[in-house]
Amino acid sequence: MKSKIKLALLFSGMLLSWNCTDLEENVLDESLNPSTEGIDEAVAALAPVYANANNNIWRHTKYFAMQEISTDEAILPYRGGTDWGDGGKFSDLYLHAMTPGNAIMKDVWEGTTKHIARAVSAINALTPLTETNPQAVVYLAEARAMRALYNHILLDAFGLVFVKDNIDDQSVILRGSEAVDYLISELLAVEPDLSTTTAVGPGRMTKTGVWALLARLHLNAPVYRDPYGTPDFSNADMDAVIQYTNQVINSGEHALSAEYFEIFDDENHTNTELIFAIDQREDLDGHNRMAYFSMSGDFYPLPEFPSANGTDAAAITSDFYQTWVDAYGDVDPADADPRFHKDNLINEPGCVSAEDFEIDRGIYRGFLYGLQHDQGGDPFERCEGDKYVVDLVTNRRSEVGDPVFHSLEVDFTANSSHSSGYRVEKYEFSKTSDSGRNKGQADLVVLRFADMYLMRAEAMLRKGDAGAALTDVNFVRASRTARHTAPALDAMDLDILYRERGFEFYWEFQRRTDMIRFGKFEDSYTEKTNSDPQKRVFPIPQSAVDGASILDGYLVQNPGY
Amino acid sequence: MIDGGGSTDWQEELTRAAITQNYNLVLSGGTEKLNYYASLGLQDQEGIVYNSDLKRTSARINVTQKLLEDRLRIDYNLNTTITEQSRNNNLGYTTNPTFDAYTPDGEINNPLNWNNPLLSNKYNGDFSESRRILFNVSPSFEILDGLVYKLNFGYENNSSDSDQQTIANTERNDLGSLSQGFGKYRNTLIENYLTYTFDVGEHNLSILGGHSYQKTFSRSSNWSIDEFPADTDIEPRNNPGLGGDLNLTDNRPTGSTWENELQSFFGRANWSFKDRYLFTATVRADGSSKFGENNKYGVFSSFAGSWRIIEEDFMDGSIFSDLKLRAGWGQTGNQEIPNKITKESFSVSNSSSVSYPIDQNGAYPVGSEYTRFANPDIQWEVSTQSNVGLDFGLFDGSLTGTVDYFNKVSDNILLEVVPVDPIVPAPTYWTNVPDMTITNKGFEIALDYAKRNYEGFSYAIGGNATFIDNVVEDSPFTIVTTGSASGQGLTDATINGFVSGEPIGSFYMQTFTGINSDGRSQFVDSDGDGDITENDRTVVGSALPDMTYSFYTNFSYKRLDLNINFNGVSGNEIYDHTAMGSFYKTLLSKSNNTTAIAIQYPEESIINSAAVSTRYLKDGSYLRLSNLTLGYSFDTKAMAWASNWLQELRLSFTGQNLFVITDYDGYDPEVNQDSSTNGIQSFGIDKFAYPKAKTFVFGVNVSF
Repeated sequence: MKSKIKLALLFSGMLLSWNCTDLEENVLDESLNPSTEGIDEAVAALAPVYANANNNIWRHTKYFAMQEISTDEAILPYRGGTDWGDGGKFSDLYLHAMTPGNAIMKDVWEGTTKHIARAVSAINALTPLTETNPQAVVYLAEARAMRALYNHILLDAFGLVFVKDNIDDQSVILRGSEAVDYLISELLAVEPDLSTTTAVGPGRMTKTGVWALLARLHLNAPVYRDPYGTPDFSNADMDAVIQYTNQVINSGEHALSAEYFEIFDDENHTNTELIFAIDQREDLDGHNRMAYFSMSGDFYPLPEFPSANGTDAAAITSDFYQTWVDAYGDVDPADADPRFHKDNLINEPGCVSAEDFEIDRGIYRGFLYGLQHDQGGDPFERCEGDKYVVDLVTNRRSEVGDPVFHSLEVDFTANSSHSSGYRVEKYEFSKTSDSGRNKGQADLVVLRFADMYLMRAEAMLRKGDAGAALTDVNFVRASRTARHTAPALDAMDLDILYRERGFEFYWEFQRRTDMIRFGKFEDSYTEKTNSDPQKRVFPIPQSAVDGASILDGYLVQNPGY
Repeated sequence: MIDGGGSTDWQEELTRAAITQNYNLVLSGGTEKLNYYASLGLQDQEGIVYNSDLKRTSARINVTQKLLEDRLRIDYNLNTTITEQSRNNNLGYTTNPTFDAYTPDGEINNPLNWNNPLLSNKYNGDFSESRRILFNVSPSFEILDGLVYKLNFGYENNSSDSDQQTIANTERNDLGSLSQGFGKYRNTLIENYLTYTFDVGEHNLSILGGHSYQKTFSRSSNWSIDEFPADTDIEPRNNPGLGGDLNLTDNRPTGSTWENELQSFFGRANWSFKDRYLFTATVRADGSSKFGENNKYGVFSSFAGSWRIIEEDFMDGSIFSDLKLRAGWGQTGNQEIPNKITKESFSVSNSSSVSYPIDQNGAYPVGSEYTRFANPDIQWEVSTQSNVGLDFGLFDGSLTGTVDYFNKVSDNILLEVVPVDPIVPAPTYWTNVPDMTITNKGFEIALDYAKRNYEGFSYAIGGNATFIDNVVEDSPFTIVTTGSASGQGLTDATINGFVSGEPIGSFYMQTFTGINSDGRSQFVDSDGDGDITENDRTVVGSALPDMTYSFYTNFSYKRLDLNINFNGVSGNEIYDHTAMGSFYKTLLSKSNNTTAIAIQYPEESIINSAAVSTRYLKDGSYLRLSNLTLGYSFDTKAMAWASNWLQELRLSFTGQNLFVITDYDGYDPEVNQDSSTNGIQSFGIDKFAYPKAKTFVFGVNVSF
């Protein structure tokens, strides 16, 4: 009987535990609305506008690929049939056969739209703070300027901008002249409220940053207004380029770097040639991708880290190399122009201490001297105590056992092995990285001072003043005085200026825009024969078009895709 | 090409004839008021691949007690299972066969620059143990005649831990590492319902009303540590403290916890007349905490009726021994979406994703951002199914069979999609896709013929077949990828997905036509634009079979019996990801092993890429002899020495998976690896499958 009573109690207990629930979801592993007490709300709103743009946009496989692998400056074959195939996304881009499903389109689109959304959220958060917090006025101007900068990337790549002032509204899409006018008016509106680069550094949008961006926008405005036609470089736009470049040049805030490669050093943040750059920090996911990705997979930049090798990605085309040969004839470009190459490491078998070990910069050709080891992960061979053996690097990828040899020819068939093609090591591989490939802190250059002279030169040339253009170009060439100096040019025309932009800005996210503006984008070069002008504007990613398809006519695919 | 001078069959070195031992002990018995069943099972299974073993111990107790003049009945079940497992799928597909596995003095051979897979077996380990306890108490009390109250209380508690380790060594230059995972899962179910059953003349009625509540909780976490002392006998998992490197960049612990609630109110009415006409109607309101404020509940009803035609007077004397017509219509809900998606999320942190040196010389500030949309309108995905069926028996029940037709249409499909306006805090959100439907319709047929006790000889033969037609309609998306490739140079390439007008699991890729004069793959330019791009991808096959079937036959003669079962599918394709990833010519040029398909095209260049295409799409039809059992049951009554204590003694021999007839040249046409994207199930992709074993079982069954 006792047991029956216990049972009855147990059941009535269960009966009472009829949990009639309101089904409210109980979130246990994240704080949905964390307290903002004690934090500077204005800074907290602005920081994400810039944060992680090095990974979200200016990444080797994203905006770099879009702006450089679509041109004659960079080609990325399916290396040895084992690396960098990636479903053909790089080769399609190079051949101008990109499609709406190409992952590079999606990556750049998502990265850029994400940062525009962050800028709009920041604008919404900062606006009410401006009444009491003078710093919020500056930050609000920066958020708007950055929204214009990101929208400029969209306009240049996809031919449209998203206009949105409140994150809960639906964006208005503008194209062509309307888009250009919107960006210009935004930049002009915020310029008075911005700081100077001298005060806040090149990692933030400043007055000279906005002027430089206005100059770039006006220089390309004729293309944006009529993307598929022949651009009309009207005097009004060119006068604006001259005005804004003059404002930057006369600001006294910037100077040309005597050593060209110092612009791309790990410690380039204080180099006054930088006008606007993404400020990478090693403990904020800064990375060395721009330094290592083109490098041979058998080449190691740091003696301490047997895992920090290259990845055998893009190489320059033989066509781009030919422009250096055309310019300097019998003189080796490495001897003629300090921007082509800088020797740091011995080019013969030898023994080098860790502190003296510094790899070359610029364009790599032919045989490669570097650290030696038996297999990946092994410590490097030592000599004379704790020094390191430097010798020809052995190929372990394509022609296994042979020395690595970077050939001039690189294409999608016979010359697509791991070592094919000349490589670019423009950015320094961080020597303070203590974990291999990541932890880079070089600022990624977006706008720099030399471009002010070359843009002004181009505007004056397009207005008919070749003499003034020649003076500006030669001024930039003469200013690189740290080693040898490139000889002065004695004539100027659009082809020479285009070639000069290639020498000055190769692999700086500008080539595609330059090729289109100079009418070269439909040319034929290694492997690439497509001459369809509709490829000047990229396809909107299929995922975005699909997502918007429930609202008819909202997001229309660009012609030709 | 590197010739190591030896000749090794790596599959031979890395696999074995494995032995599994399986013991079961069952105790059962009882009285009129109390019945019990208790069992203990021990399974010790060696994997046919080394280091892939499984040990399972399970114990179970079921008790039924009747009280209060049988008005109260209590069912009690307790079930525990402990599973210890080690995983390894290292089959050395691409290992150069000219290397010797061992040196002449019996050591693992390890020449420079070459990874002997035996070393990976020696130093890498992947272990897990899971413990599951489940109990269930369900008392029912007959309050009045025909009125029964029933409570069902169930509780399940799982915990698991896993160790993945690499033992540090100088032989292979591993620094050593350990990664440990911990999981916890709880599931509580309480159901209360009342049933009232009564008769009105020849009408039999039953009405049920109830409530159910279920709460699930899950937590998982993982941590790791690196760099262990090399060449000791101590496994990292036995003492993680020996690790020398632990930092937040490489070893940041991860974890997540979620809790979910489901609540339902339901009612059911059954009516039958003369056991001839039967009708059931149900209605239930299901609520889930996963859905937003506006749509937590979905109401789903169903109706089913059947007519036992054989009971009708006009069937007297017909050749039928059974004839029954069934029809039904019903709706069910699906809530398979991630947790938290209806909640907006605002995060504040100084992590790299939101922080930036606003003050170029100062500390990194905290940044804030919205990371997730709130979608309070998301609701249940609904499937509506209609079916009609016929059960029949002929010739005194010797021939029986069923025929069914079904048509299931799912709408309000739950998918993760891209928003209309891309300038929003998160790039995707979960929603019900308007208008899109997935339809699954087809026939199921089963036939069995049995002839019993024909001079001690009985036999039976039978089989069933299902024909399914599946189609996705009105999807606004070009393709929703459900299966994608992985591996060097192949990341995220779509293999299959949802395409409007095609079955789920449709293969969507370029059509391979051979090798061109450059030695490169050649594809069909299906959009005719002159370029081969991903726009040339089309639907080229389906992972879903048109027909799934099985058939069996069994014979018995006196105490000897023989059962044979076959099963198979036809009309589907399999994507051989293993071949694409491991058996291409480039690998051969790098002195790796491949299969003959790597040199199928002599003109193929050694740098031709192995991209996703119909080159690796293969016919997936097969017929398998899945099971053959020969058994002998001793006549224990005739065995004088045992007749008073031995009830049953049976010896059996079973062969499983004895042969497969198929054109598929991968390991096995029954593929089961998940290559899913965004949590949507993938189908028909063979990616480094664990080989299916051929099994021989010798069994002894003894009952006392």
